[in-house]
Amino acid sequence: MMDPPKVLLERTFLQAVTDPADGHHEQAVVQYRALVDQYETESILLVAVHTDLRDFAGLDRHHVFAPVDRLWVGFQHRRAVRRSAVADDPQFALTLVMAERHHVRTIATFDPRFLEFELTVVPVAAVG
Amino acid sequence: MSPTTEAPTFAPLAKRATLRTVVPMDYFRPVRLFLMISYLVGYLIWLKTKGLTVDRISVAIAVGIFLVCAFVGKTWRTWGVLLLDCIFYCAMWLAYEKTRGAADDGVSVFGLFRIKFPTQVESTRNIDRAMFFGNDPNVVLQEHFWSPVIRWWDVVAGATYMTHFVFPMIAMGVLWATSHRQWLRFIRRFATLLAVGCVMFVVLPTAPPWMLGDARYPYQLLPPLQRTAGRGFYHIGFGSFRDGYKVALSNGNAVAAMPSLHASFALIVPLFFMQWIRRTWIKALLFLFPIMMLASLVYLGEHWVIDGLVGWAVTFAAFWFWNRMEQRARTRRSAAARGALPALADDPEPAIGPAATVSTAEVAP
Repeated sequence: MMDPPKVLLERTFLQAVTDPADGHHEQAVVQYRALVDQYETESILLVAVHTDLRDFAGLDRHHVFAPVDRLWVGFQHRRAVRRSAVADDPQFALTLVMAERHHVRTIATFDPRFLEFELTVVPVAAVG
Repeated sequence: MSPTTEAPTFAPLAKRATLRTVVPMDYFRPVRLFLMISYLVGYLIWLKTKGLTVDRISVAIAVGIFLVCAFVGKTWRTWGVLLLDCIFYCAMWLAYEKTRGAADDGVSVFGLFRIKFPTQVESTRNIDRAMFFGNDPNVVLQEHFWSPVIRWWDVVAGATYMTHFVFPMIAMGVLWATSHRQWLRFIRRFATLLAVGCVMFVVLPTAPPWMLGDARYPYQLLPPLQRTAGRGFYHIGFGSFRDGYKVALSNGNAVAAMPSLHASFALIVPLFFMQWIRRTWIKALLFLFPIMMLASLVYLGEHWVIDGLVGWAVTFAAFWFWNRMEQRARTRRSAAARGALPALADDPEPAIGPAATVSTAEVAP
């Protein structure tokens, strides 16, 4: 691939970063800060599904997720979600579809279900 | 590269499922691949039978067909972004063609009067002579190597010269199809080259070497130079395809020589793709190409050496400028994120242990 590796910030991670009451908030903030450091040196790209990002940060680009690029969800992605093997959880399925279609290999999440797939999951300690 | 601390995982990678086991296949992916391979075959057949497309509109049509092949089955939003890209791409070339024509006629100021800058005739020649100890490199090369019989170096020079019309477009097409982010990075540098080139064409119109020896012009400062840029290329069986569209945009200008965009384009592609090449000898081979281009331009009487050197300088300057701007944008976004993070992020030793660093190993080709 020509781009640096993408790290997908999954919904639970975005929630943990933005919500001080979240149980994983401190770890998420420390982890996000480390990811931003890597983003700044162009070692990685930060991405998030655009619907997730909209829910947590709105459309403003000058916020805590300013370095995060949006993965735009199209009809074909929603169609793929309906046809996926995990269609019973559309949110989870959509994240997997977007990760597959955009060649994402690393995901920042607190959802342990992502450990079942060939993905590098950060921050693992909290997920486990 | 930052130090790699791969995040620990709880199941061996081999035992975990690939995403494709749960996500349905994108059936358009093999279709796109098939179409792009078909396009490549068709392009090569066209190249052999009709010739190389060199005029802007034919090249734009060729690029457009490739993009349709490369974007089949992508989202409407991706197509919308592509449309905007194409509008910018066409506007960029149109502005270039129109501005380039102003080198001869000067610039009209609100239709009231024209500003026309004097054509540089002797200054560039004198710089070349100063660099080559009183010799004219164009004359020396043609005296030693040019003959009515086409030799292998004529083929190399002619083919190298003609790559100018396709090489950057192929690079753009590949980037368009693989990474929009990289396409944007390339086009910023490329458009900067064109913009600086156009300004310099107007401000510094420069007579090329062949003009100084051509009886149709009043200079006669050099002995007549052979101007046979394409003959080596035609000799190996290729032609040059032009059609009626060329007439519509025929603003080519003989004194739009400084800087040499042939030299610039030959450098911008290796310079851009160098970041993905690890082996030094391959890098060295790539950088032979712009040197070959400049040698060909001088041998063919199309440019002065200084034209090419200035073209290279403009290319390096465009990279320097955009590298800084892109780094500044990353820094600004990172600062915005850090500024919005809660104060606990400033705690040098958080109770929860260090954060995992993402491996960047997959960057390597």
